[in-house]
Amino acid sequence: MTDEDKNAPSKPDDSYTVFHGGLVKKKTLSRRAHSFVSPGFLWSLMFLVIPCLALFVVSFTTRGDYGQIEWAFTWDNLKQLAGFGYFGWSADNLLIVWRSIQVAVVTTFLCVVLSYPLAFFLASRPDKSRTVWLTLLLIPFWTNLVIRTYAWFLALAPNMPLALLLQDIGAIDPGAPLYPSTFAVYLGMVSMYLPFVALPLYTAVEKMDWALVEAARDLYSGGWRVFRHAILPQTMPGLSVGITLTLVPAMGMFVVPDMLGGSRYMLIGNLIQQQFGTSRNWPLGAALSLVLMLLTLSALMASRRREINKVEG
Amino acid sequence: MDLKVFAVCKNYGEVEALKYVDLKVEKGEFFTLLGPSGCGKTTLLRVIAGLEMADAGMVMLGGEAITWKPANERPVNTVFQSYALFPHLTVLENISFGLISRRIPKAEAIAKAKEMLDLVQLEGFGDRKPDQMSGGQRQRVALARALANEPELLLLDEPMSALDAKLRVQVQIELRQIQQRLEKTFIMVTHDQQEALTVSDRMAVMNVGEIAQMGDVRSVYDRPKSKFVADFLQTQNFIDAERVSDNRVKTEYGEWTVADDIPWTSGVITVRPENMSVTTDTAACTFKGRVATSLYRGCYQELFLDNGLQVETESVQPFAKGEEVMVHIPEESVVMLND
Repeated sequence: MTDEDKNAPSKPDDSYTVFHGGLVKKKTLSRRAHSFVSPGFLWSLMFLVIPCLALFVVSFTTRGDYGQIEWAFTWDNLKQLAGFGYFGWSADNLLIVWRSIQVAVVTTFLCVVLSYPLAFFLASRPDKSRTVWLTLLLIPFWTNLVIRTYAWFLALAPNMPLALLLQDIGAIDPGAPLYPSTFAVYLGMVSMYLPFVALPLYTAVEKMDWALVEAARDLYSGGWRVFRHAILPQTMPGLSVGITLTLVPAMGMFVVPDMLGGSRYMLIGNLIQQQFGTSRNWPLGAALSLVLMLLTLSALMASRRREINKVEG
Repeated sequence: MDLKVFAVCKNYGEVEALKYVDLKVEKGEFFTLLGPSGCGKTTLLRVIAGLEMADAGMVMLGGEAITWKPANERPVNTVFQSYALFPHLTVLENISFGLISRRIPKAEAIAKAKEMLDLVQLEGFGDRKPDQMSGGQRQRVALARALANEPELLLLDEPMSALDAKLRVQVQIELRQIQQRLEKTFIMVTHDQQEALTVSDRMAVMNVGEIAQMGDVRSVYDRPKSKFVADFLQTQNFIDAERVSDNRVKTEYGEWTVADDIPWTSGVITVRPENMSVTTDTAACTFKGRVATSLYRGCYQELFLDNGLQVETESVQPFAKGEEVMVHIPEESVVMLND
C-alpha cells in the first residue's frame, strides 16, 4: 500500500448518498422529504379530501322535516336529481345541468375568441405601455364580483347609453332594461373570465417563435393554416391552462347568472345554493355538488389524458 | 428564374439596414451574400423572400415585379436559420406542407415528399417528429421542405450556423451537389467566407447596408477592392505604399515590382500570407525579416515576422525564434486597395 492510499478518505458505506454535491445519510434525506411533503398533504386532507368525503356521505342521507340531516341512507336524492319527484318525472334538473354545461362551454369559447386578439395586442405593445395595458386588464379582476355585477346593472339599465342605442335601432322596446337576459349573463360571464384566458395566452404568445409563422407563410399558407399549424400548437399550453381556469369555475358559477339572468335562468350553481340555502335540503344539495364535481373532474381528466397522449405519441 | 434587385432601401427606425442595394442573380446560379453581423445581408434575403417589405426600390423575379407580393404568393422558398420545422408534424408532413397549402392532392404531395427525402438522404425517417432528429438531419428536412415546392428561387439564411465544423463541410458539399443537379437559383446568406467560397458561383460582400464588392468568388477573393473586403476575407497584410513608377511601389520593406496598374500616388496594398513564400534564393528575395512566432498547422506553417507581416510556408522544418528569413512575393499577388 502506498502513502497516498493511506491518506485518502475511506469510501463511505451504503447508508450514505451524494445529494447536490453533499454527502448525506439516506435516512436523513427521506426524513427531509417527508417533512417537506406532509404540511401540504395534511392541508389538502383536512380541507379538501375530508369535506368531499362528507359531501359524498351526506348525498345518500335523508332530509328531515325541519331540514336536518337524518342518517337513513337512500338513493332518493340521486333519483330526485334525475327528475323523479313527487309528481312524476320532469326534465327540469337535467335541463339545468345541460344549461350549465352550455353556459360554461359558450363562455369559455367566447373568452378564447376574444383573448387571441387581446393576447397579440398585449404582446406587441412596447415594454413601457404593456404594463399599463396589463393593469387595465387586471383592475376589474381585483374588484369584488358582486360590485362588478352591480356595475353591469347600471350599464345595462334603461335609458343608459347602451339601452338608448339599441332602442334607437329598434332592437328593444323604449324604456326596457337589457337585463335580465341571456345576453346579460354572457356579458357578465365573459367579463368575469376573460383575464383567466387572456393572461396565460399572453404569456404563451410572448414566448412564441415567429419563425414558424414566417415558415408557414413562406410555404403558401393562408390565414387559417398559419393559425392552425404555427400559432395554435405554440399557444396550446397557455390555451389549455386558460380553458381549465374558465371552464371549471364557470360550470359552478351562480352569482352572475342569478343577478343578470333573473330567477328563470337557473344553473346548477344556483340550484346547489338554493338547496343549501332557502330549501334547506342538504342531502339533495350534496348530491348536486357531487354531480358538478364529477362533471368538472371528467372534463379535467379528458384534457389531461389528451396531454399525456400527446407527450407519449 | 433570374432575380433583379433595384435600389432597395429598408430602415428600422433610425437604422438604415439597406441603402440603395442593387443586385442581379442569374438563373441557375449559386449566389452568396457574405458579411459580418449587422451588415444587412439577412434583411436583403428577407426582402427577397417577402418576409419584409422594402421601403423603396424594386424586386423582380424572372421579369415580374414581386416587390409588394407577400411571402405566400412568391415562387420563392426559404431555409430558415433555426429551420422552423413544425414540431407537431412528422417529417413527411413537414415536407409536404407547402404542397398541401397549394391544394395539391395528398397522394401526389406525399409522393413528392418521399422523393425529397431520398434527395437529402433521409429515406425511412418520414414518420419521425423533428425533435427526434439530430441538428444535421433537421437541416436536411428544412432543405427538403423548401425544395419540395420546386421554387424558382431558393433562399438559405445561414443554413449551417447550427452545425459542427465537420458536418458543415459535408453539408456544404452536398448543398453544392444538389444545386448543380437541380439547376435552380440559390441565394445563401452567411458570415463564413470559407462557406461562401466553397459553395457559390458568385458572391457579394456587404458592409453596413451596402454591397461593398460583388463578383465571381475567385475574383473577389483574389482582388478585393477595398480595405473592408480585404480585411473580411482575411488578407492579413496591409502595407502603406507610394507609387514610384508604372509598376513599382515603395514600401517600408523596400521597393516592389507589381503586376497591377497603380491607381494612386500613395495608398494601401495587401498580400495574402499564402501567396508569399520563404526562399533561399537571394535573387528572388523581396524582403527579409526575423521570425517572431511560428505556428505549426500540419501541412503548412504560419510565420509572424518581427516587422509585422505574416507569411505562410509549406516548409515543415521548424524555424527558430529570431531566425532571419528571405521572403518572395510574386508580383501578381500584390493587390491595390482603392481606399
